[in-house]
Amino acid sequence: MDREELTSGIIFDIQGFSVHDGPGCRTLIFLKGCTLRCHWCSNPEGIHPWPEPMFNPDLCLGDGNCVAACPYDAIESDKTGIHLHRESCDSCFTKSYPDRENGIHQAVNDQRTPATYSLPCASACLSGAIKTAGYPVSVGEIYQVISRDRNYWGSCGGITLTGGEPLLQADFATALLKKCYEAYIHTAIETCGHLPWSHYENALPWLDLILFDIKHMDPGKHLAMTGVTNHLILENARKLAGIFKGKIIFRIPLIPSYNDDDENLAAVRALMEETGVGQVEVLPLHHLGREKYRLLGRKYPMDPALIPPPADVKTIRAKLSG
Amino acid sequence: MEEASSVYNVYGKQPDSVVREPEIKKSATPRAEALRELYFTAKSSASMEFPYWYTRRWEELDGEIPIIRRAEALKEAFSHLSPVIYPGELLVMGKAAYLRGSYPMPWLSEAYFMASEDKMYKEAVESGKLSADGYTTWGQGGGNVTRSEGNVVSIAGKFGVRKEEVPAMLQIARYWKDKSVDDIGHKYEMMVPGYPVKEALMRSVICMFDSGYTLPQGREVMNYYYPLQYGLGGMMTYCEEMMSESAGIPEMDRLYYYKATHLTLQGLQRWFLNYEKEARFMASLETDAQQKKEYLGIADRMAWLAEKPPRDFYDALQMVWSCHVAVLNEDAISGLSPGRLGQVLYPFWKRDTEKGLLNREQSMELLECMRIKFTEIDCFASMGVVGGVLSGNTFNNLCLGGLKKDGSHAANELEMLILESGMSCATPQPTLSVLYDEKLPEEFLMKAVECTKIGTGYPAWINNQVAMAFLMDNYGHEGMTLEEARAWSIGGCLETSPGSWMPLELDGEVYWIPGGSAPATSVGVHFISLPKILETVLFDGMDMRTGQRVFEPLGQKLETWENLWEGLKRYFSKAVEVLTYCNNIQHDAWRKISPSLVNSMLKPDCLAQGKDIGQKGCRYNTTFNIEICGAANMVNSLAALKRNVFDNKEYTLDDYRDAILANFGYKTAGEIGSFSLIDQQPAEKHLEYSRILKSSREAPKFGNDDHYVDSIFREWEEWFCDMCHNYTSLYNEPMYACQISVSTHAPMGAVTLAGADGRLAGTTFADGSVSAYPGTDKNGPYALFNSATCWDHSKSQNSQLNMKIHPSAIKGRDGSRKFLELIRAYLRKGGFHVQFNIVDSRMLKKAQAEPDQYRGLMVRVAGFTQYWVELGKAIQDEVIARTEYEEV
Amino acid sequence: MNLSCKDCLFFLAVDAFKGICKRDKARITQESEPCSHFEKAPRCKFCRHYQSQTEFTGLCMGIRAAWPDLPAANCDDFQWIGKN
Repeated sequence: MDREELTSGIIFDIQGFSVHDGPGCRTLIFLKGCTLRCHWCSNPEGIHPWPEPMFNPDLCLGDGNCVAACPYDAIESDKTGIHLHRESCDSCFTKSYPDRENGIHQAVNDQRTPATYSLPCASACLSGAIKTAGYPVSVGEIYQVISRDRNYWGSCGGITLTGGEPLLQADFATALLKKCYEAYIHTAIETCGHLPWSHYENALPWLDLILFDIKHMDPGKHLAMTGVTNHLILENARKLAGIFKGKIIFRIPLIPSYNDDDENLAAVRALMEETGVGQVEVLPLHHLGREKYRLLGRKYPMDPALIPPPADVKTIRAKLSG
Repeated sequence: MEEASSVYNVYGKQPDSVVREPEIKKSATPRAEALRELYFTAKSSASMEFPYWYTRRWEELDGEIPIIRRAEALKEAFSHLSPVIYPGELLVMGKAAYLRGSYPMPWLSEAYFMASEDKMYKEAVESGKLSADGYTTWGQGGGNVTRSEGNVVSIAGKFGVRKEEVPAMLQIARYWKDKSVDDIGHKYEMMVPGYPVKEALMRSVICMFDSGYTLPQGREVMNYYYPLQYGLGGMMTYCEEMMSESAGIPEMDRLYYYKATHLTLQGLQRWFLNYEKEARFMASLETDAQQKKEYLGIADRMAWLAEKPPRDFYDALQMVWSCHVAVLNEDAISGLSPGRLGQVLYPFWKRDTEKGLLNREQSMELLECMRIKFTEIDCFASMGVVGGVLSGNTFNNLCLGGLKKDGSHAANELEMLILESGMSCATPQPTLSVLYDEKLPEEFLMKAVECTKIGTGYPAWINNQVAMAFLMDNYGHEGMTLEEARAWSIGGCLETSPGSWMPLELDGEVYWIPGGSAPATSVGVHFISLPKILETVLFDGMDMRTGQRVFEPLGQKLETWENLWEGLKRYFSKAVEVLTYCNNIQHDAWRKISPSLVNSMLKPDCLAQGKDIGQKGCRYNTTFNIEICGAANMVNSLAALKRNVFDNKEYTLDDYRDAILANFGYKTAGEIGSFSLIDQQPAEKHLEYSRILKSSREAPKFGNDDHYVDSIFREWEEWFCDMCHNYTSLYNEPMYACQISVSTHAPMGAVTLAGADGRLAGTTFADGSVSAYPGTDKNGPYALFNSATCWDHSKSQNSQLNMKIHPSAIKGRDGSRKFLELIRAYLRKGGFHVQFNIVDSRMLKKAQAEPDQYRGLMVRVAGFTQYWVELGKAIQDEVIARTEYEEV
Repeated sequence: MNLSCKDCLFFLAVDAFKGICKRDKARITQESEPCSHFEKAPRCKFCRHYQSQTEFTGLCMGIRAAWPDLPAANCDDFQWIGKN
């Protein structure tokens, strides 16, 4: 195996037969870790960079096996059930593999197949109440899955790296994209745009398509709902449009009373004209991920009743496509 | 994600809204809509008319040559069958004088009536005292008569029979005691060495049923060529000529065969003419001019077809339907497929269309009427067979596509209309299958995708080349050529059946039309429960549920993985051996007592040879098979034992025996009333077993592209497909492997203890043959496809992969294209069959709770389409639990 | 003898419970009260060759078992006793 194949990272899912993230039938790879904290995020298990437990109290048998198994005494048990002190959870991975450079790869070597990675609490849990979100994997291992899947994509499929922010694990993502691109596989990423330019620079030669998220054109409003301003994002968008030889598509998560006003839409439209990005996809807000917040011990920040009316989505799509 | 989160257990996300309406909605013509509405109100009903006249004549002819006696009995029965014509029908004739009519055939088996004689008699006497509101109200509930009400007695929880007929029914059944195929077969099967093992196999439900007297025909493809080309009159003339050619000449059986066929044809003619008479009577009462004209048209048509070959497409379609019913009426049959009907009828349709005699609307109306007629078919067999095996389905599979005799693609415009009518008039029958070949045009395939997307469950997608390879392999010694292999079609649910090309001459032009040329291609050893076999291996030959011994003790400890395999192979082989012998005897009794006459006269080359199907009159006769059920669960259990006992030595076999007997500390499925794994509830001691249960469930599972378990699956398949050839059918031909579960995975699961795979006692097995066990395929459809094709599907008569898919994954025009890519990719990989349920699990839960609101909902289970409300609860649970491949 | 729609020449059975009137297409049950247009359908119980034994059983021509409601329209030996 060459060095690229050994490059490793942490992902939390691979999905075949994905039909909504790039052309054709695709295989999606979800990389863990994100630079944004969007309130509407539907993959909250993709935000944090390290493997973490997902706990469903409904399934808990109360046998206390996890309490005994936790090496950092981060689980407590009382009459009301099990309580996880998640601030210690990172230690499980980072203290076992302290070398940041080679740690993930070492973790890959310690297991037989990717799916067997499990935090000690999850391994000890007999009921399936605790599961592990995120596991270390090498480019070579993912590529095996991709090689299988490409038999099934049909005429115009490929891979899409998503997450999380896929380019946050820049070396890993780039190595994976390169491996696929060189094998004549159509490659795409879905990126939030909030990354140092160098992360893009290295990946660009191995990309066919960039799905670039535009959450809001106003820096203040951007900050309010994503945790960061949009300066770096817009700068990256303009730079990419200037030099990237593949295709760029903007993606807008449509959040009612946040980014669906005419002013914002006009600004997006202006950005499209300025950059020459001709295509935009509007993704209406949904709340399908909210159960996962409960499993991660977090509060879902959005109001589940807030759903864009289909008619509005239609009008906005029309406005944006000019 | 509150209420249904458990349903979306493993893969994919929950859709944002309940999808009630399919994306594509088409409506039937008003005529078909009215007929379908009438169908929905009709209950399955049995009448004794046919069996009465059959038995009366049979009794009169004591001492006559058996085949003549049988023919006279059939003639008498057909001649007396009361005709019924419903307003608006374009196609007429049915099995009995009810819309969903059928009748028992006690000459095959009367045991059921004998066993429940007292109960039925009592219900007949007491009937009339009960309120009949539930059934007599128009437009309510499903079609099954589940309990006796009013003046109607329920038989087998499905058929309603008028109380006036019950004493006669029991009287007729009594006549057949010790004379039926069942009774005669039983008398002789007891002479098979090792017969007690057979009894034990049936009692423990390791084997599901005997095919010889339950459903001796079916799982085969019809052939309508002779009546379409020569008409009934032409066939009679031929019989007359052959009678004089064979009388007094050695091999005299030909004389009796031709005479018997001639007699049967007389009966059919009389039956046709009775319909003519009824149509004229209906016309005489009719005030509406259009309806009157239609009745008179029907009368003319029936009179014409009683003698002559069809003149046009309408005639031809009526002839096809009449012959179909005629065959269904001679035997207990499920899975009688019309085959590649769009290609058989194409010459007529094309000529009429070109001449301007038939337009698109008229064609659609006729095709929709045909759908309704096929849906009206009911099969009368005992409770265990109808409910347990068939789920009430009759499997009249109509196939589309494939190749022509010359190797070019066979799709045509009429097939496009057949797909169209399957969408506009969605009914369970005839179910459709596309014989997928790389040569088929994109336009046709996209139309088939459109039909798949509508959520009717059809068409199934079948691999043409894999089936042809199977046929060449298994029928080569009987003269099967590549050209003839192309004439194949699906018989019944998913049985690859050989066919032949017949030269239909119309207006001086010859068209090679495909049609079936073999008897039932799925009789033999039926449904061996693999998880149950493995259970007996673990318990040294005992059925622990009943405490009875099934097999001789193994005589050695299972110390190694190899020992376990050997034990499994030994017990499985023993079961196959005993069942093959017994089954051959039953089928021999069948061919002697109740030889096929109607089906025989249609199938090449019975008429030419002067031999019926039971005398190897057909062109191809290698048609007995060995059918299995529950392979995925057995393989998963083997993988768990291999890893946890033999490789990791985490547990001993005794630990497993203990856990299996304790059902891993869970209550039984029967106790809680659900047969779905997700609903099972822990009992008091479950914590003692939670560790071994976790280990079992975490062991590699089939369907995830995991070599550890897939290699076991492959080893099993290679051994099984091969070993079948070591057994010989009644017709002295080698047998072959067949693997479709139909609906047996529920009743067989119900009597099986927990498995080492973590499946709990009494719960339903995985369906199909290469479907994953619900909830265990965690790596998505591509991984499942890879696992499913880890062995060569052409080694078996079939394989079966059922998938549920949510509409959101395939919505829109682009979704249709992607859907075709998915289907095509699986078939290119060598998969034999794939079929889809396009539904939302929450919709199904709702449908379970409110059956009346979902009367029209069709579900694909184990290779067939059925109305949801008519499925058993266990099967409904299983459909709900299955992983959905949906992504929003 | 109590006669109902099921005994009528114009009764078209849909199932064991109910049917349609061939004359006016009304949806009726097997037990519905006959109307003024009622005409007997040929059945064993209306045939001179039928001899009743019990409520639901009898003999045809003195030797063959039969039952009163057995349809007889296609029986060559059927002979009315007191048609209507």
